[in-house]
Amino acid sequence: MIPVKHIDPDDLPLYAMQLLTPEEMEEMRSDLEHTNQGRRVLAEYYGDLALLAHTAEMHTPPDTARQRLLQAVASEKKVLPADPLAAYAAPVVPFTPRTESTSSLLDDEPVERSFAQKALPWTGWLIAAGVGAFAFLQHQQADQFQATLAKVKTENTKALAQPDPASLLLETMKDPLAVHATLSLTEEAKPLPSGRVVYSAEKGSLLFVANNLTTLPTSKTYELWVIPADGSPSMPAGLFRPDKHGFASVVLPELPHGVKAKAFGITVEDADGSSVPTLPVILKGSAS
Amino acid sequence: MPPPSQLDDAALLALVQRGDEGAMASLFDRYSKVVYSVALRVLRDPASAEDVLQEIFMQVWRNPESFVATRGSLGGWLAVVSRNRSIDALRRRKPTDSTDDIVLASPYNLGEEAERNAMIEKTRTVMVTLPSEQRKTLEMAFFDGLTHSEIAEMTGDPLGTVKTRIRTALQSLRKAFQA
Repeated sequence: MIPVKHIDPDDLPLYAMQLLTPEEMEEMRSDLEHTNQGRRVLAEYYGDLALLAHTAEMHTPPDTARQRLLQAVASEKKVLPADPLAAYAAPVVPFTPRTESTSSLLDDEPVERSFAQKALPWTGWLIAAGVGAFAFLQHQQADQFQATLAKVKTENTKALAQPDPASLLLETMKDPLAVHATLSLTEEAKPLPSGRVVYSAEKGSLLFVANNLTTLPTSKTYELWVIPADGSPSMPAGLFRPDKHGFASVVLPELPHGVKAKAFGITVEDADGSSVPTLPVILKGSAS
Repeated sequence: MPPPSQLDDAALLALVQRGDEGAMASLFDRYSKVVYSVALRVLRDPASAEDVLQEIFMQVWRNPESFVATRGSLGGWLAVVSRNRSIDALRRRKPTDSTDDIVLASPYNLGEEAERNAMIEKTRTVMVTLPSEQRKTLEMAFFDGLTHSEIAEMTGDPLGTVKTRIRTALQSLRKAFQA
């Protein structure tokens, strides 16, 4: 039950999964600011999604990942703020006027001086050295910030230069020139594995989903192939392994643009994949 | 004080706020498997999944206050953030979510390994019992990041049916745990 009329209950899970358009996301975010119950329901969906996430097959990350993180953590040590005045809290040395006993610099006997008297001439130098070190550190930090800023700017420019894959995906699916193919088993079996491809040669973009695939040993993987219309060698279009229900997908693999497809195929390859298909072709389908 | 590995999530996060690297290592040991596995399930590429893993734990290190106890389970929060970051990476787009927006209502203590394993087992069992179309639609949306429009296009089902299936599947999952 959501009291706000204009929140469609079906949209909340999509919002939680960030599957609405940017405009719809923003509108929903704004609507949710005004409804406690809406936010409560959303929190429940996030809880459900957390459960769902845990259904992924569990894999231990590589040993190097822990080391890499701890090195990164060590390089970004947190410095708790210190009292900035403490650095300048040099001991105050009381001024001691010369007396008869301390003023005879021409005396043969060395003059016995107090600690304060010894420290006083150095205090100025110590403060100057402290200020110098502080300025040096500030300069170094400024350099680091500038380097980081330059890196972020470069990455941002690269990201902006790339086409928006979400739009590309939709365009591919709506593209009247895109070819479609239904892949089916080459031999009879039950349940029947099948797959569907949407491929735009012009955009070099491809979507593939498959059902009822047989689970493979860990040393093997499925590989999707685009078979070009011009007779050139088959192009690998992604490795995939089905989940335990036999479902699998390949979304926007890296493919060259402009290669028209005659057909699509699935083979079983070694875990790292192959650059040429290994027969037999398990599933195949012609572009239409 | 007990060793970091025996502290609960809130205590570890408090130590991380103070710059305790040992506490950060303990959080990594506790949750890296889940974060990595979710990323790997979405991205299907170990190197990319490891990048997501690093990014998320560095976010915890830099900004541990973005997670507070009221946000629910840290393990659940990390799993959801891992999925969202991975979908962003899959679609090669800049991170779109603000982690501050993610507030979980979750009664499960995923910091306890035994409870976490029991929860995982039960969730998998419930998923198998869902109607096939519901389960597939939910997995296409969650793990493949396909929008309801894209799923409708792929499956040939009406848009409204796809949306309702997703919501119904999530509610069925929740009800099974409440029963």
